[in-house]
Amino acid sequence: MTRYGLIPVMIICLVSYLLTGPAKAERLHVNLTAHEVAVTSSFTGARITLFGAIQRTSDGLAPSQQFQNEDIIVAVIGPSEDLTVRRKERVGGIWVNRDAITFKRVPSVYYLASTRPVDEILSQSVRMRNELGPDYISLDRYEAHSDISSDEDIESFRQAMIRKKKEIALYGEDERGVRVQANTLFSMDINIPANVPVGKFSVRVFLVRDGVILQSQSIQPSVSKKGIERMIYSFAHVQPLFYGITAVIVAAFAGWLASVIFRQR
Amino acid sequence: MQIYLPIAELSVNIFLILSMGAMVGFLSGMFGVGGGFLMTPLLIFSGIPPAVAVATEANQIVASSVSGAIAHWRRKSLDLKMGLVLLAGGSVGSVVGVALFSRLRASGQVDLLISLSYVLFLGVIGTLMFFESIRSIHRAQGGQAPKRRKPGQHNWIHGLPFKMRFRRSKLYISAIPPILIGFVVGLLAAIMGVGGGFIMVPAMIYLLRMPTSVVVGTSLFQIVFVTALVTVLHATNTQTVDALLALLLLLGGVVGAQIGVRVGVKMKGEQLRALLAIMVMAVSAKIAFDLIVTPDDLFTISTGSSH
Repeated sequence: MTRYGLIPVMIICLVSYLLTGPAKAERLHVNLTAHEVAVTSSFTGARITLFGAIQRTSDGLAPSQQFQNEDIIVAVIGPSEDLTVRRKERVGGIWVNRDAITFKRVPSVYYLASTRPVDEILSQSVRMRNELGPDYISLDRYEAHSDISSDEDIESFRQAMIRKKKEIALYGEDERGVRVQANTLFSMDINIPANVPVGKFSVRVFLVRDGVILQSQSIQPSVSKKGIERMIYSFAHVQPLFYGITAVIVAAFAGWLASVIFRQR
Repeated sequence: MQIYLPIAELSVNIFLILSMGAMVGFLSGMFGVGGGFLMTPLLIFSGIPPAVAVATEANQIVASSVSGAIAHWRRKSLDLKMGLVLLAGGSVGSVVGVALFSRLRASGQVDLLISLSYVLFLGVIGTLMFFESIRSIHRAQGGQAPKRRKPGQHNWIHGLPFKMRFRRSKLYISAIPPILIGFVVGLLAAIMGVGGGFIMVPAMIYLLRMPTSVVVGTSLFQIVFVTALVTVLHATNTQTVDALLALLLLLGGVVGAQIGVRVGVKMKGEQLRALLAIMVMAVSAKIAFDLIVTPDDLFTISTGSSH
Protein backbone atom coordinates (compact mmCIF):
# COMPACT_ATOMS: atom_id res chain seq x y z
CA MET A 1 0.00 0.00 0.00
CA THR A 2 2.90 2.29 0.58
CA ARG A 3 5.96 3.13 -1.36
CA TYR A 4 8.03 1.02 1.03
CA GLY A 5 6.57 -2.05 -0.57
CA LEU A 6 7.91 -0.95 -3.92
CA ILE A 7 11.49 -2.15 -3.78
CA PRO A 8 10.85 -5.82 -2.80
CA VAL A 9 8.32 -6.11 -5.61
CA MET A 10 10.77 -4.64 -8.05
CA ILE A 11 13.30 -7.22 -6.96
CA ILE A 12 10.81 -10.06 -7.24
CA CYS A 13 9.92 -8.98 -10.75
CA LEU A 14 13.52 -8.69 -11.73
CA VAL A 15 14.49 -12.01 -10.17
CA SER A 16 11.56 -13.88 -11.66
CA TYR A 17 12.47 -12.30 -14.94
CA LEU A 18 16.09 -13.38 -14.69
CA LEU A 19 15.28 -16.89 -13.50
CA THR A 20 12.74 -17.81 -16.13
CA GLY A 21 15.16 -17.03 -18.88
CA PRO A 22 14.43 -16.49 -22.55
CA ALA A 23 11.14 -17.75 -23.95
CA LYS A 24 9.57 -17.77 -27.37
CA ALA A 25 7.88 -14.38 -27.14
CA GLU A 26 7.71 -11.36 -24.88
CA ARG A 27 6.42 -12.34 -21.52
CA LEU A 28 4.67 -10.12 -19.11
CA HIS A 29 5.31 -10.35 -15.38
CA VAL A 30 3.10 -8.30 -13.13
CA ASN A 31 2.48 -8.02 -9.44
CA LEU A 32 0.89 -5.74 -6.90
CA THR A 33 2.29 -4.33 -3.69
CA ALA A 34 -0.78 -5.79 -1.97
CA HIS A 35 -3.31 -8.38 -2.99
CA GLU A 36 -5.60 -7.59 -0.12
CA VAL A 37 -6.27 -3.92 0.17
CA ALA A 38 -7.90 -2.61 3.30
CA VAL A 39 -9.26 0.89 3.01
CA THR A 40 -8.63 1.87 6.61
CA SER A 41 -8.89 5.60 6.49
CA SER A 42 -12.29 6.06 5.00
CA PHE A 43 -11.42 9.51 3.86
CA THR A 44 -8.17 9.13 1.98
CA GLY A 45 -8.79 5.68 0.60
CA ALA A 46 -5.82 3.48 -0.19
CA ARG A 47 -3.08 3.19 -2.76
CA ILE A 48 -1.46 0.13 -4.20
CA THR A 49 1.22 -0.03 -6.82
CA LEU A 50 1.24 -2.32 -9.80
CA PHE A 51 4.64 -3.51 -10.96
CA GLY A 52 5.64 -5.33 -14.03
CA ALA A 53 8.40 -6.31 -16.37
CA ILE A 54 8.57 -7.41 -19.96
CA GLN A 55 10.69 -10.43 -20.49
CA ARG A 56 12.52 -10.45 -23.79
CA THR A 57 12.57 -13.33 -26.18
CA SER A 58 14.82 -15.68 -27.96
CA ASP A 59 15.68 -13.27 -30.73
CA GLY A 60 18.94 -12.57 -28.98
CA LEU A 61 18.12 -9.22 -27.50
CA ALA A 62 19.87 -8.37 -24.30
CA PRO A 63 17.77 -8.50 -21.12
CA SER A 64 18.42 -4.82 -20.55
CA GLN A 65 16.60 -3.94 -23.73
CA GLN A 66 14.63 -0.74 -23.28
CA PHE A 67 10.97 -0.22 -24.01
CA GLN A 68 10.87 0.35 -27.73
CA ASN A 69 7.59 0.30 -29.48
CA GLU A 70 5.83 -1.65 -26.78
CA ASP A 71 3.10 -0.13 -24.71
CA ILE A 72 1.33 -1.16 -21.57
CA ILE A 73 -2.35 -0.68 -20.91
CA VAL A 74 -3.80 -1.38 -17.47
CA ALA A 75 -7.50 -1.70 -16.71
CA VAL A 76 -8.62 -1.71 -13.06
CA ILE A 77 -12.14 -3.08 -12.82
CA GLY A 78 -14.25 -3.18 -9.69
CA PRO A 79 -16.98 -5.70 -8.74
CA SER A 80 -20.02 -5.39 -10.97
CA GLU A 81 -23.30 -3.89 -9.82
CA ASP A 82 -26.67 -2.86 -11.17
CA LEU A 83 -26.97 0.86 -11.78
CA THR A 84 -30.13 2.83 -12.30
CA VAL A 85 -29.92 6.06 -14.29
CA ARG A 86 -32.84 8.44 -14.01
CA ARG A 87 -33.66 11.48 -16.08
CA LYS A 88 -35.60 14.46 -14.80
CA GLU A 89 -38.38 16.01 -16.78
CA ARG A 90 -40.43 19.10 -16.15
CA VAL A 91 -43.90 18.15 -14.98
CA GLY A 92 -46.32 20.91 -14.03
CA GLY A 93 -43.47 23.35 -13.54
CA ILE A 94 -41.25 21.20 -11.34
CA TRP A 95 -38.44 18.82 -12.20
CA VAL A 96 -39.34 15.22 -11.55
CA ASN A 97 -37.51 11.92 -12.14
CA ARG A 98 -39.31 10.34 -15.08
CA ASP A 99 -37.53 7.89 -17.36
CA ALA A 100 -35.14 5.37 -15.90
CA ILE A 101 -32.87 2.62 -17.16
CA THR A 102 -31.16 -0.01 -15.04
CA PHE A 103 -27.87 -1.17 -16.50
CA LYS A 104 -27.15 -4.71 -15.38
CA ARG A 105 -23.81 -5.85 -14.05
CA VAL A 106 -21.70 -2.81 -14.87
CA PRO A 107 -18.26 -2.39 -13.33
CA SER A 108 -18.54 -0.35 -10.15
CA VAL A 109 -15.03 0.95 -10.79
CA TYR A 110 -13.14 1.34 -14.04
CA TYR A 111 -9.75 3.00 -14.36
CA LEU A 112 -7.68 2.79 -17.48
CA ALA A 113 -4.04 3.78 -17.53
CA SER A 114 -1.46 3.47 -20.25
CA THR A 115 2.03 4.51 -21.27
CA ARG A 116 0.62 6.65 -24.10
CA PRO A 117 -2.89 7.73 -25.14
CA VAL A 118 -4.67 4.49 -26.01
CA ASP A 119 -5.93 5.92 -29.30
CA GLU A 120 -2.32 6.12 -30.44
CA ILE A 121 -1.68 2.52 -29.41
CA LEU A 122 -4.74 0.62 -30.57
CA SER A 123 -7.34 0.92 -33.28
CA GLN A 124 -10.92 1.72 -32.32
CA SER A 125 -12.12 -1.76 -33.17
CA VAL A 126 -9.54 -3.48 -30.96
CA ARG A 127 -10.33 -1.01 -28.20
CA MET A 128 -14.02 -1.65 -28.52
CA ARG A 129 -13.61 -5.43 -28.60
CA ASN A 130 -11.56 -5.42 -25.40
CA GLU A 131 -13.68 -2.73 -23.74
CA LEU A 132 -10.64 -0.63 -23.00
CA GLY A 133 -11.73 2.58 -21.35
CA PRO A 134 -14.81 3.79 -19.48
CA ASP A 135 -16.40 4.94 -22.73
CA TYR A 136 -15.92 1.49 -24.26
CA ILE A 137 -17.66 -0.58 -21.61
CA SER A 138 -20.44 -2.54 -23.24
CA LEU A 139 -23.72 -1.73 -21.55
CA ASP A 140 -26.01 -3.89 -23.59
CA ARG A 141 -27.72 -5.57 -20.65
CA TYR A 142 -30.26 -3.09 -19.44
CA GLU A 143 -33.85 -2.77 -18.42
CA ALA A 144 -35.83 0.32 -19.37
CA HIS A 145 -38.47 1.34 -16.86
CA SER A 146 -40.43 3.52 -19.23
CA ASP A 147 -40.88 3.94 -22.96
CA ILE A 148 -37.29 4.61 -23.87
CA SER A 149 -36.98 2.89 -27.17
CA SER A 150 -34.84 4.99 -29.46
CA ASP A 151 -31.16 4.11 -29.57
CA GLU A 152 -30.37 7.79 -29.24
CA ASP A 153 -32.18 7.95 -25.93
CA ILE A 154 -30.49 4.86 -24.58
CA GLU A 155 -27.15 6.26 -25.68
CA SER A 156 -27.81 9.47 -23.72
CA PHE A 157 -28.52 7.41 -20.58
CA ARG A 158 -25.36 5.38 -21.17
CA GLN A 159 -23.26 8.51 -21.52
CA ALA A 160 -24.87 10.06 -18.45
CA MET A 161 -24.00 7.00 -16.41
CA ILE A 162 -20.35 7.11 -17.46
CA ARG A 163 -20.18 10.88 -16.90
CA LYS A 164 -21.68 10.51 -13.41
CA LYS A 165 -19.24 7.74 -12.54
CA LYS A 166 -16.36 9.94 -13.67
CA GLU A 167 -17.68 12.80 -11.52
CA ILE A 168 -17.45 10.68 -8.39
CA ALA A 169 -14.01 9.42 -9.49
CA LEU A 170 -15.07 5.78 -9.84
CA TYR A 171 -14.36 5.81 -13.56
CA GLY A 172 -11.30 7.42 -15.00
CA GLU A 173 -8.60 7.38 -17.59
CA ASP A 174 -4.97 8.38 -17.29
CA GLU A 175 -3.11 8.50 -20.58
CA ARG A 176 0.28 8.46 -18.91
CA GLY A 177 -0.62 6.55 -15.75
CA VAL A 178 1.77 3.71 -16.51
CA ARG A 179 5.35 4.83 -15.95
CA VAL A 180 8.34 3.18 -17.49
CA GLN A 181 10.73 2.78 -14.57
CA ALA A 182 13.95 1.49 -16.03
CA ASN A 183 14.74 -0.86 -18.85
CA THR A 184 11.69 -3.09 -19.15
CA LEU A 185 10.19 -2.34 -15.78
CA PHE A 186 7.00 -0.39 -15.45
CA SER A 187 4.73 0.68 -12.61
CA MET A 188 1.38 2.25 -11.98
CA ASP A 189 -0.19 3.71 -8.86
CA ILE A 190 -3.74 2.62 -8.27
CA ASN A 191 -5.63 4.97 -6.02
CA ILE A 192 -8.61 3.37 -4.39
CA PRO A 193 -11.00 6.02 -3.14
CA ALA A 194 -13.08 5.56 -0.01
CA ASN A 195 -16.35 5.25 -1.94
CA VAL A 196 -15.48 2.00 -3.75
CA PRO A 197 -17.56 -1.08 -3.12
CA VAL A 198 -15.73 -3.95 -1.46
CA GLY A 199 -15.01 -7.23 -3.18
CA LYS A 200 -12.87 -8.78 -5.89
CA PHE A 201 -11.24 -6.35 -8.24
CA SER A 202 -9.62 -7.29 -11.48
CA VAL A 203 -6.43 -5.66 -12.71
CA ARG A 204 -5.76 -6.52 -16.36
CA VAL A 205 -2.44 -5.67 -17.91
CA PHE A 206 -2.03 -5.65 -21.69
CA LEU A 207 1.23 -5.63 -23.59
CA VAL A 208 0.79 -4.01 -26.99
CA ARG A 209 3.06 -3.66 -29.98
CA ASP A 210 2.19 -2.38 -33.44
CA GLY A 211 -1.48 -2.18 -32.62
CA VAL A 212 -1.63 -5.81 -31.53
CA ILE A 213 -2.22 -7.08 -28.01
CA LEU A 214 0.63 -9.54 -27.52
CA GLN A 215 -0.01 -10.61 -23.97
CA SER A 216 -2.36 -10.00 -21.15
CA GLN A 217 -2.12 -10.79 -17.49
CA SER A 218 -4.71 -10.50 -14.80
CA ILE A 219 -4.49 -10.12 -11.04
CA GLN A 220 -7.43 -10.17 -8.66
CA PRO A 221 -6.83 -8.12 -5.55
CA SER A 222 -9.64 -7.99 -3.04
CA VAL A 223 -10.64 -4.74 -1.47
CA SER A 224 -12.06 -4.59 2.01
CA LYS A 225 -12.81 -1.74 4.36
CA LYS A 226 -11.88 -1.44 7.98
CA GLY A 227 -12.38 1.10 10.70
CA ILE A 228 -15.24 2.46 12.75
CA GLU A 229 -17.21 3.73 9.73
CA ARG A 230 -17.13 0.29 8.15
CA MET A 231 -18.28 -1.28 11.39
CA ILE A 232 -21.26 1.05 11.49
CA TYR A 233 -22.03 0.31 7.84
CA SER A 234 -22.03 -3.46 8.25
CA PHE A 235 -23.92 -3.27 11.52
CA ALA A 236 -26.64 -1.21 9.79
CA HIS A 237 -26.91 -3.68 6.91
CA VAL A 238 -26.42 -7.01 8.67
CA GLN A 239 -28.41 -6.34 11.83
CA PRO A 240 -30.76 -3.49 10.86
CA LEU A 241 -33.24 -3.97 13.71
CA PHE A 242 -30.55 -4.17 16.36
CA TYR A 243 -28.78 -1.22 14.74
CA GLY A 244 -31.96 0.88 14.85
CA ILE A 245 -32.60 0.04 18.49
CA THR A 246 -28.96 0.81 19.36
CA ALA A 247 -29.16 4.15 17.52
CA VAL A 248 -32.26 5.05 19.56
CA ILE A 249 -30.69 4.02 22.87
CA VAL A 250 -27.47 5.90 22.14
CA ALA A 251 -29.43 9.02 21.15
CA ALA A 252 -31.69 8.85 24.21
CA PHE A 253 -28.74 8.34 26.50
CA ALA A 254 -26.76 11.18 24.90
CA GLY A 255 -29.74 13.50 25.21
CA TRP A 256 -30.26 12.60 28.84
CA LEU A 257 -26.52 12.94 29.58
CA ALA A 258 -26.39 16.38 27.97
CA SER A 259 -29.28 17.61 30.11
CA VAL A 260 -27.59 16.30 33.25
CA ILE A 261 -24.28 17.98 32.40
CA PHE A 262 -25.90 21.31 31.71
CA ARG A 263 -28.15 21.20 34.75
CA GLN A 264 -25.13 20.92 37.04
CA ARG A 265 -23.62 24.15 35.75
CA MET B 1 -10.95 17.80 9.31
CA GLN B 2 -12.85 15.42 7.09
CA ILE B 3 -14.92 12.54 8.37
CA TYR B 4 -16.55 9.78 6.37
CA LEU B 5 -20.23 9.25 7.08
CA PRO B 6 -20.79 5.48 6.82
CA ILE B 7 -24.44 5.47 5.75
CA ALA B 8 -24.54 8.69 3.74
CA GLU B 9 -21.34 7.33 2.13
CA LEU B 10 -19.61 10.63 1.69
CA SER B 11 -16.90 12.68 3.33
CA VAL B 12 -17.88 15.85 5.10
CA ASN B 13 -16.09 18.44 7.15
CA ILE B 14 -16.62 17.53 10.78
CA PHE B 15 -16.70 21.21 11.81
CA LEU B 16 -19.36 21.98 9.23
CA ILE B 17 -21.61 19.30 10.72
CA LEU B 18 -20.85 20.37 14.30
CA SER B 19 -21.59 24.02 13.52
CA MET B 20 -24.78 23.11 11.68
CA GLY B 21 -25.85 21.21 14.78
CA ALA B 22 -24.90 24.19 16.93
CA MET B 23 -26.74 26.65 14.71
CA VAL B 24 -29.97 24.67 14.63
CA GLY B 25 -29.56 23.92 18.35
CA PHE B 26 -29.20 27.64 18.99
CA LEU B 27 -32.34 28.42 17.01
CA SER B 28 -34.34 25.65 18.63
CA GLY B 29 -33.19 26.78 22.07
CA MET B 30 -34.10 30.37 21.26
CA PHE B 31 -37.47 29.66 19.72
CA GLY B 32 -38.36 26.62 21.80
CA VAL B 33 -38.92 24.40 18.76
CA GLY B 34 -37.51 20.99 17.90
CA GLY B 35 -35.48 22.13 14.94
CA GLY B 36 -36.03 19.07 12.76
CA PHE B 37 -37.77 21.12 10.11
CA LEU B 38 -34.67 23.33 9.87
CA MET B 39 -32.03 20.62 10.21
CA THR B 40 -33.34 18.21 7.58
CA PRO B 41 -33.40 20.86 4.79
CA LEU B 42 -30.01 22.15 5.92
CA LEU B 43 -28.56 18.63 5.65
CA ILE B 44 -30.09 18.24 2.19
CA PHE B 45 -28.70 21.63 1.10
CA SER B 46 -25.23 20.52 2.23
CA GLY B 47 -25.30 17.44 0.03
CA ILE B 48 -26.49 14.65 2.34
CA PRO B 49 -28.88 12.37 0.42
CA PRO B 50 -32.45 13.44 1.39
CA ALA B 51 -33.43 9.95 2.52
CA VAL B 52 -30.44 9.81 4.88
CA ALA B 53 -31.14 13.35 6.12
CA VAL B 54 -34.72 12.45 7.06
CA ALA B 55 -34.00 9.17 8.86
CA THR B 56 -30.93 10.54 10.65
CA GLU B 57 -32.77 13.63 11.80
CA ALA B 58 -35.49 11.44 13.32
CA ASN B 59 -32.73 9.74 15.29
CA GLN B 60 -31.33 13.07 16.45
CA ILE B 61 -34.75 14.31 17.58
CA VAL B 62 -34.94 11.34 19.97
CA ALA B 63 -31.86 12.79 21.66
CA SER B 64 -32.96 16.42 21.63
CA SER B 65 -36.45 15.77 23.01
CA VAL B 66 -35.69 13.08 25.59
CA SER B 67 -34.38 15.44 28.26
CA GLY B 68 -37.37 17.76 27.87
CA ALA B 69 -39.74 14.82 28.09
CA ILE B 70 -38.04 13.58 31.29
CA ALA B 71 -38.26 17.06 32.83
CA HIS B 72 -41.98 17.30 32.09
CA TRP B 73 -42.51 13.77 33.40
CA ARG B 74 -40.87 14.73 36.70
CA ARG B 75 -42.97 17.87 36.97
CA LYS B 76 -46.02 15.82 35.99
CA SER B 77 -46.80 18.47 33.39
CA LEU B 78 -47.95 15.96 30.80
CA ASP B 79 -51.15 14.07 30.10
CA LEU B 80 -50.02 10.44 29.89
CA LYS B 81 -53.35 9.11 28.66
CA MET B 82 -53.54 11.73 25.92
CA GLY B 83 -49.90 11.01 25.08
CA LEU B 84 -50.65 7.30 24.67
CA VAL B 85 -53.66 7.98 22.44
CA LEU B 86 -51.54 10.32 20.30
CA LEU B 87 -48.82 7.69 20.25
CA ALA B 88 -51.27 5.02 19.05
CA GLY B 89 -52.09 7.20 16.05
CA GLY B 90 -48.43 8.14 15.69
CA SER B 91 -47.30 4.52 15.50
CA VAL B 92 -49.70 3.76 12.67
CA GLY B 93 -48.65 7.00 10.96
CA SER B 94 -44.95 6.12 11.17
CA VAL B 95 -45.48 2.61 9.79
CA VAL B 96 -47.51 3.99 6.88
CA GLY B 97 -45.01 6.83 6.37
CA VAL B 98 -41.94 4.58 6.28
CA ALA B 99 -43.72 2.11 3.96
CA LEU B 100 -44.57 4.96 1.56
CA PHE B 101 -41.03 6.29 1.91
CA SER B 102 -39.36 2.99 0.98
CA ARG B 103 -41.79 2.42 -1.92
CA LEU B 104 -40.99 5.82 -3.39
CA ARG B 105 -37.29 5.43 -2.68
CA ALA B 106 -37.21 2.31 -4.83
CA SER B 107 -38.87 4.17 -7.69
CA GLY B 108 -36.63 7.22 -7.34
CA GLN B 109 -39.36 9.59 -6.19
CA VAL B 110 -38.60 9.94 -2.49
CA ASP B 111 -36.58 13.14 -2.86
CA LEU B 112 -39.55 14.72 -4.58
CA LEU B 113 -41.89 13.56 -1.81
CA ILE B 114 -39.61 15.08 0.84
CA SER B 115 -39.24 18.37 -1.04
CA LEU B 116 -42.94 18.73 -1.76
CA SER B 117 -43.85 17.95 1.85
CA TYR B 118 -41.43 20.61 3.03
CA VAL B 119 -42.62 23.25 0.58
CA LEU B 120 -46.22 22.61 1.54
CA PHE B 121 -45.92 22.39 5.32
CA LEU B 122 -43.26 25.01 5.85
CA GLY B 123 -44.96 27.37 3.39
CA VAL B 124 -48.36 27.13 5.06
CA ILE B 125 -47.07 27.17 8.63
CA GLY B 126 -44.53 29.93 8.01
CA THR B 127 -47.17 32.15 6.43
CA LEU B 128 -49.74 31.52 9.18
CA MET B 129 -47.15 32.12 11.87
CA PHE B 130 -45.91 35.26 10.21
CA PHE B 131 -49.34 36.90 10.01
CA GLU B 132 -50.21 35.78 13.52
CA SER B 133 -47.05 37.36 14.94
CA ILE B 134 -47.58 40.57 12.91
CA ARG B 135 -51.06 40.81 14.38
CA SER B 136 -49.79 40.34 17.91
CA ILE B 137 -47.02 42.89 17.38
CA HIS B 138 -49.72 45.35 16.25
CA ARG B 139 -51.85 44.49 19.23
CA ALA B 140 -48.95 44.98 21.60
CA GLN B 141 -48.31 48.40 20.09
CA GLY B 142 -52.00 49.39 20.14
CA GLY B 143 -52.37 48.22 23.72
CA GLN B 144 -55.35 46.02 22.84
CA ALA B 145 -55.82 42.85 24.82
CA PRO B 146 -55.89 39.72 22.66
CA LYS B 147 -59.23 38.03 22.41
CA ARG B 148 -59.35 34.71 24.17
CA ARG B 149 -61.75 31.89 23.64
CA LYS B 150 -63.63 30.74 26.70
CA PRO B 151 -62.60 27.28 27.92
CA GLY B 152 -65.20 24.58 27.53
CA GLN B 153 -66.62 26.19 24.44
CA HIS B 154 -68.01 23.52 22.16
CA ASN B 155 -66.85 22.90 18.62
CA TRP B 156 -67.43 20.19 16.03
CA ILE B 157 -65.07 17.84 17.83
CA HIS B 158 -67.57 17.35 20.62
CA GLY B 159 -70.01 15.73 18.25
CA LEU B 160 -67.72 12.78 17.50
CA PRO B 161 -68.17 9.29 19.01
CA PHE B 162 -65.72 7.14 21.09
CA LYS B 163 -65.45 9.66 23.87
CA MET B 164 -62.71 9.30 26.46
CA ARG B 165 -62.01 11.10 29.66
CA PHE B 166 -58.62 12.80 29.92
CA ARG B 167 -58.34 13.78 33.58
CA ARG B 168 -55.07 15.62 33.33
CA SER B 169 -56.34 17.80 30.48
CA LYS B 170 -59.81 18.12 32.05
CA LEU B 171 -61.33 16.97 28.79
CA TYR B 172 -64.05 14.54 27.81
CA ILE B 173 -63.66 14.21 24.07
CA SER B 174 -63.68 11.68 21.27
CA ALA B 175 -60.47 9.66 20.80
CA ILE B 176 -60.67 10.20 17.03
CA PRO B 177 -59.13 13.71 16.81
CA PRO B 178 -56.05 12.90 18.94
CA ILE B 179 -55.53 9.64 17.04
CA LEU B 180 -55.75 11.53 13.74
CA ILE B 181 -53.38 14.24 14.97
CA GLY B 182 -50.97 11.55 16.14
CA PHE B 183 -51.27 9.78 12.80
CA VAL B 184 -50.44 12.91 10.80
CA VAL B 185 -47.49 13.67 13.07
CA GLY B 186 -46.18 10.09 12.73
CA LEU B 187 -46.52 10.36 8.95
CA LEU B 188 -44.60 13.64 8.91
CA ALA B 189 -41.90 12.26 11.21
CA ALA B 190 -41.34 9.35 8.80
CA ILE B 191 -41.40 11.42 5.61
CA MET B 192 -39.87 14.73 6.71
CA GLY B 193 -37.65 13.83 9.67
CA VAL B 194 -39.39 16.24 12.01
CA GLY B 195 -40.75 15.81 15.50
CA GLY B 196 -43.99 17.43 14.44
CA GLY B 197 -44.33 19.70 17.45
CA PHE B 198 -45.02 22.63 15.15
CA ILE B 199 -48.24 20.93 14.05
CA MET B 200 -49.12 19.07 17.21
CA VAL B 201 -48.85 21.96 19.66
CA PRO B 202 -51.27 24.29 17.81
CA ALA B 203 -53.59 21.33 17.16
CA MET B 204 -53.66 20.46 20.86
CA ILE B 205 -54.35 24.03 21.86
CA TYR B 206 -56.85 25.08 19.22
CA LEU B 207 -58.52 21.82 18.24
CA LEU B 208 -58.42 19.72 21.39
CA ARG B 209 -58.46 22.73 23.75
CA MET B 210 -55.93 21.16 26.05
CA PRO B 211 -54.61 23.32 28.90
CA THR B 212 -51.30 24.90 27.78
CA SER B 213 -49.58 23.62 30.93
CA VAL B 214 -49.61 20.03 29.67
CA VAL B 215 -49.34 20.66 25.92
CA VAL B 216 -45.54 20.85 25.58
CA GLY B 217 -44.87 17.89 27.89
CA THR B 218 -47.45 15.69 26.17
CA SER B 219 -46.17 16.62 22.75
CA LEU B 220 -42.55 15.88 23.75
CA PHE B 221 -43.64 12.53 25.20
CA GLN B 222 -45.26 11.59 21.89
CA ILE B 223 -42.29 12.91 19.87
CA VAL B 224 -39.71 10.83 21.76
CA PHE B 225 -41.54 7.58 21.09
CA VAL B 226 -42.64 8.34 17.54
CA THR B 227 -39.16 9.43 16.42
CA ALA B 228 -37.69 6.38 18.16
CA LEU B 229 -40.10 4.17 16.23
CA VAL B 230 -39.38 6.03 12.98
CA THR B 231 -35.64 5.54 13.55
CA VAL B 232 -36.04 1.79 14.01
CA LEU B 233 -38.41 1.50 11.04
CA HIS B 234 -36.07 3.45 8.77
CA ALA B 235 -33.12 1.38 10.00
CA THR B 236 -34.89 -1.85 9.09
CA ASN B 237 -36.65 -0.73 5.89
CA THR B 238 -34.41 1.78 4.19
CA GLN B 239 -31.05 1.51 6.03
CA THR B 240 -30.70 5.28 5.93
CA VAL B 241 -30.05 6.07 9.61
CA ASP B 242 -26.53 7.46 9.91
CA ALA B 243 -25.76 7.07 13.60
CA LEU B 244 -22.44 8.87 13.28
CA LEU B 245 -24.03 11.90 11.63
CA ALA B 246 -26.78 11.94 14.26
CA LEU B 247 -24.19 11.88 17.04
CA LEU B 248 -22.22 14.77 15.52
CA LEU B 249 -25.35 16.86 15.05
CA LEU B 250 -26.31 16.12 18.62
CA LEU B 251 -22.95 17.27 19.98
CA GLY B 252 -23.25 20.62 18.22
CA GLY B 253 -26.94 20.86 19.01
CA VAL B 254 -26.56 20.44 22.77
CA VAL B 255 -24.13 23.35 23.02
CA GLY B 256 -26.08 25.53 20.62
CA ALA B 257 -29.36 24.97 22.44
CA GLN B 258 -27.90 26.11 25.77
CA ILE B 259 -26.76 29.40 24.26
CA GLY B 260 -30.03 29.77 22.36
CA VAL B 261 -32.15 29.45 25.48
CA ARG B 262 -30.19 32.25 27.14
CA VAL B 263 -30.54 34.58 24.14
CA GLY B 264 -34.20 33.66 23.71
CA VAL B 265 -35.30 34.86 27.16
CA LYS B 266 -34.03 38.35 26.36
CA MET B 267 -36.21 38.70 23.27
CA LYS B 268 -39.90 39.41 22.91
CA GLY B 269 -42.14 36.48 22.01
CA GLU B 270 -43.84 38.16 19.05
CA GLN B 271 -40.57 39.24 17.50
CA LEU B 272 -39.14 35.77 17.95
CA ARG B 273 -42.16 34.23 16.26
CA ALA B 274 -41.97 36.67 13.36
CA LEU B 275 -38.28 35.90 12.94
CA LEU B 276 -38.90 32.16 13.04
CA ALA B 277 -41.77 32.53 10.56
CA ILE B 278 -39.51 34.40 8.12
CA MET B 279 -36.90 31.65 8.41
CA VAL B 280 -39.46 28.91 7.86
CA MET B 281 -40.78 30.70 4.78
CA ALA B 282 -37.23 31.20 3.46
CA VAL B 283 -36.46 27.47 3.77
CA SER B 284 -39.72 26.61 2.03
CA ALA B 285 -38.96 29.11 -0.76
CA LYS B 286 -35.46 27.71 -1.24
CA ILE B 287 -36.74 24.13 -1.60
CA ALA B 288 -39.47 25.31 -4.00
CA PHE B 289 -36.86 27.20 -6.02
CA ASP B 290 -34.69 24.07 -6.27
CA LEU B 291 -37.66 22.14 -7.65
CA ILE B 292 -38.45 24.76 -10.27
CA VAL B 293 -35.02 25.82 -11.48
CA THR B 294 -33.54 23.67 -14.23
CA PRO B 295 -30.96 21.37 -12.62
CA ASP B 296 -27.36 21.39 -13.90
CA ASP B 297 -27.63 17.74 -14.71
CA LEU B 298 -30.92 16.08 -15.51
CA PHE B 299 -29.48 12.65 -14.84
CA THR B 300 -28.88 10.92 -11.53
CA ILE B 301 -27.47 7.48 -10.84
CA SER B 302 -28.04 5.08 -7.98
CA THR B 303 -26.93 1.54 -7.37
CA GLY B 304 -29.52 -1.19 -7.50
CA SER B 305 -32.62 -1.69 -9.58
CA SER B 306 -35.69 0.45 -9.85
CA HIS B 307 -39.20 -0.79 -9.22
